[in-house]
Amino acid sequence: MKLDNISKILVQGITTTQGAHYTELMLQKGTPIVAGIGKLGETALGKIPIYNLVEQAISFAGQIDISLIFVEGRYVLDAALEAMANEIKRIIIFSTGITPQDILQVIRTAKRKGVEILGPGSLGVLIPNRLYLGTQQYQFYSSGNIGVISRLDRLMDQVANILTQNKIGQSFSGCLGSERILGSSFEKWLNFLEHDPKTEAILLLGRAYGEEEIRALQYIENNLQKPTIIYLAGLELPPKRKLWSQTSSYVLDSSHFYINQNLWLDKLTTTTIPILQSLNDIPEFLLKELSS
Amino acid sequence: MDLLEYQAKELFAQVGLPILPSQAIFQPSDIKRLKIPYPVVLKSQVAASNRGKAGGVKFVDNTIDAITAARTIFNLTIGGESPEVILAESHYQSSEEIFLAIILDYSLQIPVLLGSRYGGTDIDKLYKNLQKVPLQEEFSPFYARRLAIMMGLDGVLLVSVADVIEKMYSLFISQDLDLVEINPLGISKIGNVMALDGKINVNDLALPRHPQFKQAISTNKSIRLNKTGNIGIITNGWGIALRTLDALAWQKGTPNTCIIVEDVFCSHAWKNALQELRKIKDIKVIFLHLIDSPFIQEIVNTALGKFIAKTNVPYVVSLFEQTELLGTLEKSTNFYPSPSLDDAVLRVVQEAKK
Repeated sequence: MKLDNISKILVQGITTTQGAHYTELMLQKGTPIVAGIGKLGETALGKIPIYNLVEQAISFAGQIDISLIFVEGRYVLDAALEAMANEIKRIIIFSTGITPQDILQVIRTAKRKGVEILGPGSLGVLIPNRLYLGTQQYQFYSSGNIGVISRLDRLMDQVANILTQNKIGQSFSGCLGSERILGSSFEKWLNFLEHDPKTEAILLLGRAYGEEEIRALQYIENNLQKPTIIYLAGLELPPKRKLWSQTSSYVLDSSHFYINQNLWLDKLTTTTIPILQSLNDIPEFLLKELSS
Repeated sequence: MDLLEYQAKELFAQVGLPILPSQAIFQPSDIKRLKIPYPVVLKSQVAASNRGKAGGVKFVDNTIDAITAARTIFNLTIGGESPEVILAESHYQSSEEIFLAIILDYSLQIPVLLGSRYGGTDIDKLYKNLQKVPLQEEFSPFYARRLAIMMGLDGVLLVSVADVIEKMYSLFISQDLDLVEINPLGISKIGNVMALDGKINVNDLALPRHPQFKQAISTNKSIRLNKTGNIGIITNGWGIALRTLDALAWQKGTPNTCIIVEDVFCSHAWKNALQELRKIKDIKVIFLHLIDSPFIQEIVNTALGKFIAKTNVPYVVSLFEQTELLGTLEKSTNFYPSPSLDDAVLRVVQEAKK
């Protein structure tokens, strides 16, 4: 997702508790939100006009650069389809609780129309002092040269807090989302950070034994020049699977889950990329990587 | 949510999948009003696997035997679960039994059709002969035919099995399923097919769209870890949950259940999380671990403060990283606000041992 030329932002679900709350926070930091889509009856949130349809918002504000979706989970499909039907090419989904079939339809349509999706369940993206498109706690972030990409929701705030306390600023922080099916991948953002001139080292925050993370690790080994470190949460847990029927679980386990697990254990012992298990170790390792 | 066999078969019937004449039995006396001719098979309606081996399936030839068998099955606990319903069903002579399923593959992000020529309980044989057709594009019946051919079927059987898969797919989409499985699909000597047992898993998030599945809907997500564990956890994100569980493992704590509240703005979600943990008898201490803004912590304070003070909940250790806001929660006697993760984890493990 390109993050330049963002001057017109739409908030879909601006009248939800979350939507209203975070819209106000973003406006305080100068985020150029120009309109919102909300429930019937409400016409404005402060100075931001509220419409019923995306096309109405566009006829008022002009073409939208990015839409931020805060609607309830079951309305996400409709909101995303409406944004895409109106040629909005970048979408961040903050909502959770979207059914797999709904999000798969969103992702299929996005691929067909060349739309980029971040989320669902994302905290958004943040470039300190430049761009705040999200629900992060802004005060914990500081400007610097570390690019952070995460799948650990609020833990990203905590990591930013630790980095800032250790005088390590961030060039970028992005969150893929918390749901099982995601519109974006670590690889896309690692590639973005590799080519981002402000980023000198990369920090990936992921879940132990995740498929996204193992693909990311392979991508880092094969494609990245910049120093990169990984923090994984959940290494102490037995990899868990969802119990469906005995037969189908067995089929699924045998088909890819166990292979991945073995792959993981293998990778953990052989990779040269530092993999950390404690948040408190992050500053020391980052400083070491930056100085070498 | 897992549907029981009789619920799955009701859905099968709706889309025209072939099922045997059957009747749900809610108490032994219902047997007297049985409309299916003997012999019948009585099957315990529990979610656990291997109910046949556990004695939950009985063949009966007459009413007297059937009432006795029904009483036995109602009193039989399988995998910690006693049945509320028994399914009485006609008997079917299969000459062959196959396995069919459609499953949402989360890693490929697409549904996958699965089939094995050898269905039933011999899982090794089933798996050795398993065929898979990932749905790279929108479903179309040729995918079903492809699977049937890969399974080695031909002629009339190819057509009828492909038709079954097509109907399974229509259920899969219309009911928001994570899984629909027919095992076994019985095939008679003359090539008729019959869904003899079925499993359906409805995606929990889709339950509000399907009011026919009467189920309490919670927006919280739970990770159940250890049935005998004595620690309950409430957090506001997967990342925090995993980090907390790592930290507890280092100190040899035994977590039972971890609840993740995603709708953090909703005070009911917090109350529900606490209620759910209270119901688990083995839990001696609750660890409330949050990373969020003062705004959210105020919501939690208001939602849980009075509740913890008034009701009989286990000892609560709380860690609000990043803020020191406390308010009403602080006044409760069985409540310990902790300054750091290390301190909180030690306190939790210590309290759980008491």
